[in-house]
Amino acid sequence: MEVAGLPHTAADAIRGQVGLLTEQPGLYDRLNVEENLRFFASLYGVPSGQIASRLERWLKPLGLWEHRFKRAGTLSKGMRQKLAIARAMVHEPPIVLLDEPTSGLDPESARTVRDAIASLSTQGRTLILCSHNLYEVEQLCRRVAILRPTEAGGKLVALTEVSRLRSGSTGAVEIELVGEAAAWLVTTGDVPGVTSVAARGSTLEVRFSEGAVATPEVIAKLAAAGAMILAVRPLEQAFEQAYLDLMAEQGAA
Amino acid sequence: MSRTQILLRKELLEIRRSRGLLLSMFALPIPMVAVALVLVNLVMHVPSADLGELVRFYRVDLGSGDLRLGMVHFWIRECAGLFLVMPLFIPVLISAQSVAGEKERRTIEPLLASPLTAAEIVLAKSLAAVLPAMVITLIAFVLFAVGVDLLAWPLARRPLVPDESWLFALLVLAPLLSFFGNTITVLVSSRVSDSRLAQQISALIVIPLLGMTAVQFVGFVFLGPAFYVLFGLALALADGALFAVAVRMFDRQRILSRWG
Repeated sequence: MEVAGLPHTAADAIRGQVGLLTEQPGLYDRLNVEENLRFFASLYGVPSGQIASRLERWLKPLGLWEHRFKRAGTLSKGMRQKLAIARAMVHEPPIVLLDEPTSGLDPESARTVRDAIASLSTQGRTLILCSHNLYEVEQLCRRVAILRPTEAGGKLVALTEVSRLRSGSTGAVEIELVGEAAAWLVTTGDVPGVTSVAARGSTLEVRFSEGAVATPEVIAKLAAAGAMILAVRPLEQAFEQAYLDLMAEQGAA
Repeated sequence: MSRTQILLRKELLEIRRSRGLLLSMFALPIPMVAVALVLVNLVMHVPSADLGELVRFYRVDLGSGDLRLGMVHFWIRECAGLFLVMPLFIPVLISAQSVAGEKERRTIEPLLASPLTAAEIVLAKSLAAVLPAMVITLIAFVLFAVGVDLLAWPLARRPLVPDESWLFALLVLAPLLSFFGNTITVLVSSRVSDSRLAQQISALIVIPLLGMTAVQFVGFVFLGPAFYVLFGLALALADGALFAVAVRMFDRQRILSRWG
């Protein structure tokens, strides 16, 4: 197994390729913003001639450039967490570990931090986010690994795309029609394999006994009956519900 | 600049900016210098009739020289033991802050996630504790030496300090004791999560040295040069062994999982 092209046993070298954002920012309060970053940039081997430009590159977009001579201990919670992000990024690692990055932050700061993380994910790095905040996971992650605590430390319950986890367990579709959907409840409910149909404005929610395999029959029957179909979408359940269902399944197993 | 130097520079910067720590570091040398000067001054002014009794009490072999000057010399040597408490104790204050304090403030997590090795961390933090302790000890010594030489000038007509015993104490024993105090504190700090607890436990190492100084002061025993040479050798061996143990015990996983 390799991490950032290095054998997984080369712990010291791997640490140099990883940026870490901890739940608590863990800043040196008596040092100012610039001194905190300079220290870690030097530790991670950023050449001294490049440190000033790295500081500017990471402090400016995070809105900390004007505060670079302020002691870290005087910064607000959100600014501290942003400085911790800059610290994790200053050596521009290919892998970044983010541990509960918005824990304890007010909604405004949490959003700023989430935006900053979202911008990192577009830069071709591997971001690993560890969080109990499912909204955050849904917003920021493409793939998700769900761990369930066990006496042995933890068990991997799922490793999949976030979108797959959301849609995978519903086996339902959403059909958008022209006009009131309630008019088509009976037509749709007659199709074999359909277990329930609900109307919400111009949308029909159709559930099936065995996944969404009967969708073509439903569409065909609606079209034959004269319904004007605008769109057909798989009905995604809330990520939180998918997570809870999965954990309940694991608990029962 | 090596990673050890980078960490050392950061540690020293933090110490410089920590008013509380600086105050406690300087709190010890001031009374030490004052007490030592008062003691020498007392000997300078003991009535001549009592001087002989004092010499007999301390069983000091002064040969055929001047009794008072010999007694002043004796006390100056005794004060060296008192001064050695400084290089032993000051690193306890600094190291407890720098290791257990980092755990307390949760700054150790990013540090342990960096490419620093355990040996680099222990070495940098040790130097950051030993260097200020030595600087403060030397400043205190200069103040003591100037004070003693001024006090004793009318009698000796030459500087009495530094003599060979003080040079040995300052250049050999003080750094070794400083390193000893530091390494003990690093070991304790890697096992506890509270810097004050680390300080309190580690500060116990001062007791044997204080005891050794006290038994000499009350004339119970006189520990001569041979004892101090052996003491230095034992300290050097202990320092080497303790440093190796501290590096081994500075286990990242354990420190990260056992705090709190």
